[in-house]
Amino acid sequence: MLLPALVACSQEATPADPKLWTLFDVQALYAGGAAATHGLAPNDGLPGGIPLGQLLNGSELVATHAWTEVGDVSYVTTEVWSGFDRVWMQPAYVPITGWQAGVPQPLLDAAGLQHPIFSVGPHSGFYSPFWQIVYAQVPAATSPGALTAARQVLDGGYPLTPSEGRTMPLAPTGIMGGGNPGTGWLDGAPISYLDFGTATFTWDAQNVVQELPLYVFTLMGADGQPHVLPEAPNVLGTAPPPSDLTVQPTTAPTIGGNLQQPRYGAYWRVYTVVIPPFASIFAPTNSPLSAALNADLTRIRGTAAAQYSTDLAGEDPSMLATYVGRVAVDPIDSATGVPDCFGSLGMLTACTWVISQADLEQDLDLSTGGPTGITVTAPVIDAYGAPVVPL
Amino acid sequence: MRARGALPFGLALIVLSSGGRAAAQVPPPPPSAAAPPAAPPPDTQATPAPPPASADEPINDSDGYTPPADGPGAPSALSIDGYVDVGFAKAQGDGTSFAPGDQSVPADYGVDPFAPAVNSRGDVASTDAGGRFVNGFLPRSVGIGGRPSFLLNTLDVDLKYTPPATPLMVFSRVQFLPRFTGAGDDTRVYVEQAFGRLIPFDSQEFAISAGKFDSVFGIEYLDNESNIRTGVTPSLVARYTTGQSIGVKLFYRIQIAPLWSALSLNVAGTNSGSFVEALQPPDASLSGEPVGSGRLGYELNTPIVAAKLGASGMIGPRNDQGDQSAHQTAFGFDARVSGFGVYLNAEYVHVDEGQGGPKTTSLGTFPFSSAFSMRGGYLQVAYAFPWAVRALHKVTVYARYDRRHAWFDGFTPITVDRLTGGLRVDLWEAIILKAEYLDNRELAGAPTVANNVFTSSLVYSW
Repeated sequence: MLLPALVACSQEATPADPKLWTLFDVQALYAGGAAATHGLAPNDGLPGGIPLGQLLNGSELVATHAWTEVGDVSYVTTEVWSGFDRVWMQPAYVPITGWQAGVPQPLLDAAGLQHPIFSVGPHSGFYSPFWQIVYAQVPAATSPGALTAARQVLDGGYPLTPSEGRTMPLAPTGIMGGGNPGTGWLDGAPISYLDFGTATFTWDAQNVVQELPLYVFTLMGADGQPHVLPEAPNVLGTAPPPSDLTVQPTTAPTIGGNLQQPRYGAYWRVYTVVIPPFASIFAPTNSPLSAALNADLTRIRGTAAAQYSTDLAGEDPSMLATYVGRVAVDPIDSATGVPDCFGSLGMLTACTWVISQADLEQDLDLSTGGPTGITVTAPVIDAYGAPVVPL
Repeated sequence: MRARGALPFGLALIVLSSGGRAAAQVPPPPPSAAAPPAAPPPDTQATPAPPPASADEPINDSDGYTPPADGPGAPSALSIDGYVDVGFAKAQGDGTSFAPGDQSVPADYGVDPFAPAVNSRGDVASTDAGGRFVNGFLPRSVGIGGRPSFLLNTLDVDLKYTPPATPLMVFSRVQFLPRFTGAGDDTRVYVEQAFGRLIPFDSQEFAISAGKFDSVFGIEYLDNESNIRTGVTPSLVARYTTGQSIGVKLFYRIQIAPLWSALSLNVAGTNSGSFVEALQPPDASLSGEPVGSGRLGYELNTPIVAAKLGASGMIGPRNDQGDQSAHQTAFGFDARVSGFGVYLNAEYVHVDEGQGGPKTTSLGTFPFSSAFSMRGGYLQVAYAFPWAVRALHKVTVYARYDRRHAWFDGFTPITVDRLTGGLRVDLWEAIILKAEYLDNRELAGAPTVANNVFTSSLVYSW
């Protein structure tokens, strides 16, 4: 009979279902009892996935330390995508009353604030925090609250002027820790957002946001599995790999021209990089962070801790902080388990550190890791010790 | 021989007068031995199926099994039927529902791309989104944009074979669909149906079909073919209920003669349920689990008024992706009432789809299948003037009101409606001329766009 043939049976493996987590989802997971260690997208190439604690701590965005071609930076993570091969920029309409010398004159409310009108909500898989500002020129007498939905803008027949792209994650009200908070409209209802400014991403002719690599170091453990070192800084790349970068840029990477501050991309694909046996991670034990890192290393490797010079123990931890978690590819002294350049603060500058995409491509075999299925919104909020002010 | 029930003679007359072609919404011309009805084998659910009052009457067109007479003069076991549908259409704007100035993506999530339909297949004037990304919520297109154009909508060839002295019927429907789009020639040869149907018991209206067959959901699928449909275009909810699929179907009907009534049950397990092939491919199961669908129907056939009521349901994994846990459910109610030349059809459909994995439709592959919901329906009224003069067999005027409220997860819900008005003229038994106007309106959510359509259809049947 044919009927038995209708009964479901085993099927071939199918691609992972695409999944997006926004700050709304993260907050909901916390509210449901999830711990900060709960991993998002744990099966998409990054061991353990992205822990909730990397996005939010209460209502605070969490800063993550990373290295770039120029120096160390901090970024926050506001969205995590799993299984998406691309993400699109969406339009956000900003009513203006006209132009003066080429500058749009926004329609402001009584408090002097403008309220963009978003076109896609955070519960859609096609939601994106990457918005193209589309200025809608409305009559000067228009009430600031008259337009609250994209349909009204389009039906109004107002002149539309597509403009810059801005990274503005929609967020639950009260989230802090990065970006300028604001309130816009979505389908007639107010919604909060965080504005990380313009010059934070580029896009192609089909509005696909261009991704950059975010390298996460992993370490092969005694169990034969790769492990992420949460204390180790990541590396923000500057070009889609392989970039064939052979010379470190001497200026800060920027998006857009004539910018006075470094502008890093905000959309990243997570790549893993396996730390090879010949490389070392700087993790002396004279600060809580480095002690934790050292303990993790010992636990994962299942071997005794490396022997750091007693000279380092006497150093001011703040002087060493900039080196903690860095990976060096200098030869390891078999007696101590660390390179000789780890011997003193002064020698650290002579180490061959791997802290940029160029270093990675030059000094490590990147084929041991590779791209994951995870992409993130991760705008840089501090660069080289100074806050990055949204433009 | 199959037992023929002794239904009231009046019932048989009503059926014969109101359903010459079982699936037609309006009565066709009287049967003629010289030019037998060219309708395809209709679904058994659609037909009241009372047997003829006498052996001299034409066989009922229920398509229930009727053994052929043996010997010389017996009807041929093989019949070849079909039709040609030639259209002429003009849509407003650029032939799409995409609003100029709207840059949100996917472009097909914030509008109804199915609105500017031009033919009975639901093909639209255009689906050109102007380079914007779309995610597979699209109908087929005839690629004419906003330009007026003649179209060869369908060349349909039906083969039906009934092996002598067996309770089996084999049917195939192959359609040639000449299309030319902006990307070049897009002509297809499409096997719309191909199935065998077995009626194992002479004494029961019980049929088992296996192959690719019509939907069992609702009633609009009965009008899929342009030589049967009263008007030209399908409703705004047809995309969810009228698709063919491959699987197994069981039909059972019991006549309750004293009450002039019948109850029927039609259930199917198929690859894709009742969605049209542009939305869910019917020719393979992507999830590995069948989609169940069915309809429970009640028929009342009095000498004055005939009424048919039904409740339908569908459940199973959505077949535009591979995740078995991504379910689609649908239910609906339908009604058909006819009397005094007036024909009223109404249907309500409720659809929910869960989010699934990467999306695959007959039109291509897309990033992922979003959760989706729809509530909608239509009401159609037709009146057939009691005229029959020489070649003019019938004139029918009709109007239909459609309404559809739908939303993709996270996107603005949209509400659209459509008012369709048209005229149908039947000449002889082989020619149908239809013309109609579609007034599409975006009531909420979707931007207002010029996407009304004038379309017409000239159908030759053989």
